[in-house]
Amino acid sequence: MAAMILLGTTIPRRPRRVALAGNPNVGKSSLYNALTGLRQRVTNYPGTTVEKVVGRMSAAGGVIDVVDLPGSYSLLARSPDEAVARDEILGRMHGEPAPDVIVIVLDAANLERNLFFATQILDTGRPCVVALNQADLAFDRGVRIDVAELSRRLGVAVVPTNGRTGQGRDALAAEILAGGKKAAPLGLDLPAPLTESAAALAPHLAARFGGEDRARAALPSILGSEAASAELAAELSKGAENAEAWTRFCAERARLAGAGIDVAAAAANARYAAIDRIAAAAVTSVEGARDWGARLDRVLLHRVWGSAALLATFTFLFLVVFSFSSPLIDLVDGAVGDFGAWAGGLFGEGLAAEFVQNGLVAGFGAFLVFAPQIALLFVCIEALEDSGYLARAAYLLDRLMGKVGLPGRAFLPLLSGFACAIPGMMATRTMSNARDRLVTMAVMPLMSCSARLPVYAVVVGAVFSNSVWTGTVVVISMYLLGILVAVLASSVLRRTVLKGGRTPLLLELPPYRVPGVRTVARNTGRRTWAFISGAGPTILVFTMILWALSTFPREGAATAGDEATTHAAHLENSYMGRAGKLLEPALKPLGFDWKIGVGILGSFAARETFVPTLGVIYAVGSDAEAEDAGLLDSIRNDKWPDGRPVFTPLTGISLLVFYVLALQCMSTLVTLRRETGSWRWPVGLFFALLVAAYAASFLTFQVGSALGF
Amino acid sequence: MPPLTDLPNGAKGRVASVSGEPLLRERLVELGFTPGALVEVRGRALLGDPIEVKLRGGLLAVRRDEAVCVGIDVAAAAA
Repeated sequence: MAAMILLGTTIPRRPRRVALAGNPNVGKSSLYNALTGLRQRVTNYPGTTVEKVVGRMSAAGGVIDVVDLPGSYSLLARSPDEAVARDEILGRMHGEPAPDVIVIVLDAANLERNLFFATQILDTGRPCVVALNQADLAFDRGVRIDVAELSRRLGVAVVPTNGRTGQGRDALAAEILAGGKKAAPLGLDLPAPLTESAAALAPHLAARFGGEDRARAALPSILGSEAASAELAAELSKGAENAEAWTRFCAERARLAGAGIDVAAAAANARYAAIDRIAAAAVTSVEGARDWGARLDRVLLHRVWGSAALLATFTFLFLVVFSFSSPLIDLVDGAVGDFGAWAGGLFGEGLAAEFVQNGLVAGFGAFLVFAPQIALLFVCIEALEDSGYLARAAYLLDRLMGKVGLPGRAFLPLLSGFACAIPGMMATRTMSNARDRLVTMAVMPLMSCSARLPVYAVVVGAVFSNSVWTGTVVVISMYLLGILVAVLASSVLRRTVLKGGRTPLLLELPPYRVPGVRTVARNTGRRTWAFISGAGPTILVFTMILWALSTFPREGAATAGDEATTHAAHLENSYMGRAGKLLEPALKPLGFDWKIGVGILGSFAARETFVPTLGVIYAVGSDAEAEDAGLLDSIRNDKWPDGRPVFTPLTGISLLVFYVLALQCMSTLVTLRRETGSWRWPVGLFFALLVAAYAASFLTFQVGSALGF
Repeated sequence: MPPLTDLPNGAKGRVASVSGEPLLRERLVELGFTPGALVEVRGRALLGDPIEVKLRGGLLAVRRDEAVCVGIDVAAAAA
């Protein structure tokens, strides 16, 4: 090693670290994917649920680590995402070095608004490079940008890039490795009192902002924001060495408040005026270019055609998650089952084999089976998002969803919830507001997912088989019940735990574009892997615990009888069977006996297990299906000790109501924990819905009995 | 000055005033609703809300609740 250093050959150098910053919807994600290789690290920023995505880029002159920051509109952060972007840009992220270079991504087709955030970043004096992205799209819309002039005006290098083709990658890498440039602060024409305040404070805050000129540039917008100036005042009030700065800062705030000018508007106006000057010099518009986006919008945002397109899109999406994914799910399910049987076979007969097959391998299957749905849903969502349509769908549906206190963005995740709550919860990641996202995730389990269908089928088959219509009406009522309770729950949450009005909607409708295959594929892969690696291990452990509870203690096996009867005896004597019997007095007012109790207990792993569990209990076999005549007969003929039938139509309805409301799915709970960052939400929601389910079933059965059903 | 919500589809005007809670007002001006900026109402979503506007070369969807905070000078649009 020493010899190597002496020879002066290759002293391993730390890779350059760059951050990609820009507005949302500027094609930042495609550019990130074009720059970096397949290997990437996805974590959460400490103490937040904001995703941190880091990828590595190998270029001719060295290696570069690229951090893809959340899209932001301003350095004055107004959401956890924007706070993360701000802290990274300013190098204030705890336990991390500041990025060596900030790559500011500009959407060439929407330059003016993009330059607002961009010039804020340039004003900080951090080394920057500008990536002028999607210039081809802007060109089609008749926008001609003089890159050299833009670079001269901004004071940093401007590299035209294209995330789709990878164009500009090498030039951008070269600029990054050259270290970027620090731009001079943009001169702003501010009202006199504001200029004076900034000038008076700058000497005292030079250290905080990295120079007097930087302080002068940053202060007007901070003084214009109540939150940002309160934050800075609080920061200054802490250290004794800032006492002077703090006093003066408070004095200037008071003076400005009395000066009768709208500081926020003045600061923003001055910045846009400066941007207009830059645009006037560097951008020309060609008249007569065909604006395809506007033409498309005339159809897709039309009241009639737009609604039809929306309906068609969502019907297709629903089919993808609900139907198209089922062959894949069956494939995974079958493969896991076969593998389990094979692996169990290696251990011969007995407990070890059962553990491998029904505990360990089944535990892997319990989360792997969701992967196809998640992947398929995200292929669609990412493609729609990248095309610019998802923002428009959110716009069209905003009012409708507003009636239940949710933004338009919540529609697609909730719709996915009818197939499976897990991809639905993951789809809420497209929602920027944390509170809206929490409400959406909290009501997600009330959407009747596909795992409830076998339960519905077995109940309808057992007690409503006399008429197709009764069964259909019953099942549809269950879907509606879930929606109704979701609407109620959402408004209750809005008034209690997640209090506060609706968050303002200021949604940008990005230009249309053809979705990038690479971006869609990589983002889908990232989401799917995040679920498998994040939620998988916990689900595996829970599955094994539930297996143990339904297996031990192993008694009642010695009696003679066929295999199915032995299994039934095993389950009856297991901890779970005993718990079912113990709970029978509590379940009786709902119309359930201990056998249904065991089915419900087993369902807390996953609702899918209800029918197989009943199969075991009724000694029909664990491979029983909902349409199994033997199983249905056993259920119909089951009697209470006094001879009354257990499974009356009323018991059936009561059971269905329970399954609609109860959150019996540990994968959902584990996903909710992952998405919210703590066990508080999943545990709270679990018990709230359990109480609701119990109460609703109790009422159903008691009122129904009283009415003579 | 009439609020942005009063403008019919296709109408243009210039921003005259922005009111409302500090947080909302600050975000509105940052997105470009600064006094004098040209605004064009492009359309409305189902049930008439939100409103789609063209502002500084980009399209924005704004809810009525927020759009009422933006006062518009319709006469100044031609200037």
